[in-house]
Amino acid sequence: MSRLSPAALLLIGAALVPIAIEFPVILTFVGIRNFSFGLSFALFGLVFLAILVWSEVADVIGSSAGS
Amino acid sequence: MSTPTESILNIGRTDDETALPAESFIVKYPTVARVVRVCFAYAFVALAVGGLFGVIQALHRTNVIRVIDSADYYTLLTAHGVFLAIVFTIFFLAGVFAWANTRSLERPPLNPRFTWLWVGTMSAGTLLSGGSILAGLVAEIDVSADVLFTFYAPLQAHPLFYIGLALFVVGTWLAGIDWFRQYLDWRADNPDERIPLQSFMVLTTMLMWYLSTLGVAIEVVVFLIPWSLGLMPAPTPLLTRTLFWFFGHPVVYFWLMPAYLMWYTVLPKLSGGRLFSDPLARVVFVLFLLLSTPVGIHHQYLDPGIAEGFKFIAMTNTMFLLLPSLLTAFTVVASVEHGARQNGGEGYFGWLTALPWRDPAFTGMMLAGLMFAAGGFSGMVNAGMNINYLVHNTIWVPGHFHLTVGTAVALTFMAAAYWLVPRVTGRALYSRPIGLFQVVLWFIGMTFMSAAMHRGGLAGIPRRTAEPEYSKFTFEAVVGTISSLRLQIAFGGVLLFVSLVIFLANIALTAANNEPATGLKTDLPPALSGPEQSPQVLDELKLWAIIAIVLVILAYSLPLWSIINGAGFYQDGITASPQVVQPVLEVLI
Repeated sequence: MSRLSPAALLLIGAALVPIAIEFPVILTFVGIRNFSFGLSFALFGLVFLAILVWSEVADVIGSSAGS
Repeated sequence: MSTPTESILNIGRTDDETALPAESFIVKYPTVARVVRVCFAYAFVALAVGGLFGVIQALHRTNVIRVIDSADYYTLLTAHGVFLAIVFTIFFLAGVFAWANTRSLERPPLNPRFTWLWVGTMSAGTLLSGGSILAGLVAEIDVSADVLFTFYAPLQAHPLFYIGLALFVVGTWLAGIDWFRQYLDWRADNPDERIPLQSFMVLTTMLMWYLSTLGVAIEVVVFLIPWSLGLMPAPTPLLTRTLFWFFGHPVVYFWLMPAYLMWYTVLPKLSGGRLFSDPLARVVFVLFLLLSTPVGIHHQYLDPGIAEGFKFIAMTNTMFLLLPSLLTAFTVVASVEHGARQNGGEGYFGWLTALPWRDPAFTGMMLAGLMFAAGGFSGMVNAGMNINYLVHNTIWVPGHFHLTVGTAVALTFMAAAYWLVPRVTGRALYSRPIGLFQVVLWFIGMTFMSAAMHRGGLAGIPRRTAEPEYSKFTFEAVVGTISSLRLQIAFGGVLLFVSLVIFLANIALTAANNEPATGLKTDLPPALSGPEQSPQVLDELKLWAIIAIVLVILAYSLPLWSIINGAGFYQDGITASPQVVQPVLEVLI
């Protein structure tokens, strides 16, 4: 059983999109000007993948520990 | 035992409830339900046509895929604006207002024939205006209206375009009369009662609309129709621009106020709670009535014929408009939080997880509200006299209004459709998960497109052009590259179009669904702070209407006098007598 429902994953994924778009802009404030949008999307794609794995795996571990 | 999410999804339902209960809207008011269905049908057809033209434009001007000639781009741009910003929005709000006024006053309109009269008038106007725009795509037909949504001299359309627009506006005026008659009938039976909140919202919105459409009515009837018919000379562009923007900014609130109606009255119910404050909701609508119209000159900061002082006054009035928006943000979020806490939500942010995010109606409206906040910030840049110069007539501006009308309004209307269509058809929504996916996809698509448009505007990329590339000139983006921004615009536009197709398919399948809808009770929970706690003066519609008129006179009398005194009604050297009369006069005199 997943920790997050498909609807929750959908909403979390949607929330990551504006963050991925704005991330290179935020980095310019700390002097990093060459961070491309493509890299940003790849990075937050990985973040989403990590959340997905956590949602699927962490609950399985929790279930087996409890049984 | 049901889970919290399941119990949220079953709000309004009871175990003994049968399909189409006697108290459901469609059973109590079948004629009004039919009117709403017809209005929604017009709205969704316009949405389909306007949306298709939108994605074609996005792909064309970003040079990703070109399926039209650049000369036809402006026909599509006009159709995109008129079909979406006038036909879709206003037909949908007419349906929402017909539903809301009838539901809250608990009575149908007095005369169904009159109701169908305004539906028919708006329909005729739509067919004339829409037809004259689309005729521009057919070379064999000598009719076109490539004047864009912002129609004023010196661009001239075929007379049918202006006549259609005039008919459409007259139709909305008749609709307002219908709703006021409904209210007066209710008032006769309830002389001491407070105006029900939804009806109050409908009436204040229509008062604002009557006032604001005076500008466009004068522009179209006095100047543009006679000019396009060849009866009169071309009017002064500045004068028609000013008359257009007299209407052009308040029309934004005409789109937005029905969305607010849904946020204030339906969203709390969907979240499982109650409206936080009825008095605050009334204050917000009164403020919109007062402040929506005397601000239009902020669209004309770069017009040389208007003194800076008048522009400064318009800017000040515009900044006051932030107040009702901020009040709305507070009230709606407080109402939703109340609902979440009723559902067991706890903590500073933990309550957010107790909301019915699986409901496309709820999620769509919440995402629309979130995007509206972003649109509000970019709107402040537009409204500021000094920083407006940075973004004026750049693609920043479409980026802004795709957040406001393109998301705050359009996404709220789509979300509202998921809730309202079953109530006016009696048919169950075809698919809630698909609906949820659709509203989230709209949010993602608009994030891509709008953010890139704003950035492109900061780089100076112009709006309203099929060919944004200039020779011997290179735009420079603050972050990333111009080509990446163009790809984001195209990608966002495609996502929006896919979302739109999914929405229309879901609604069409709902209309054809044989499964009866359940949970059709239209009772809305009472506000935590009810109307009894608001000052009686808020319901004095005559008073607010008079103050609104006075504010408009103060804001517009001197600028209009100055424009007419300086530039005249018509361009230099041209008399104002009808051109068909002139030869006769020359013979006689």
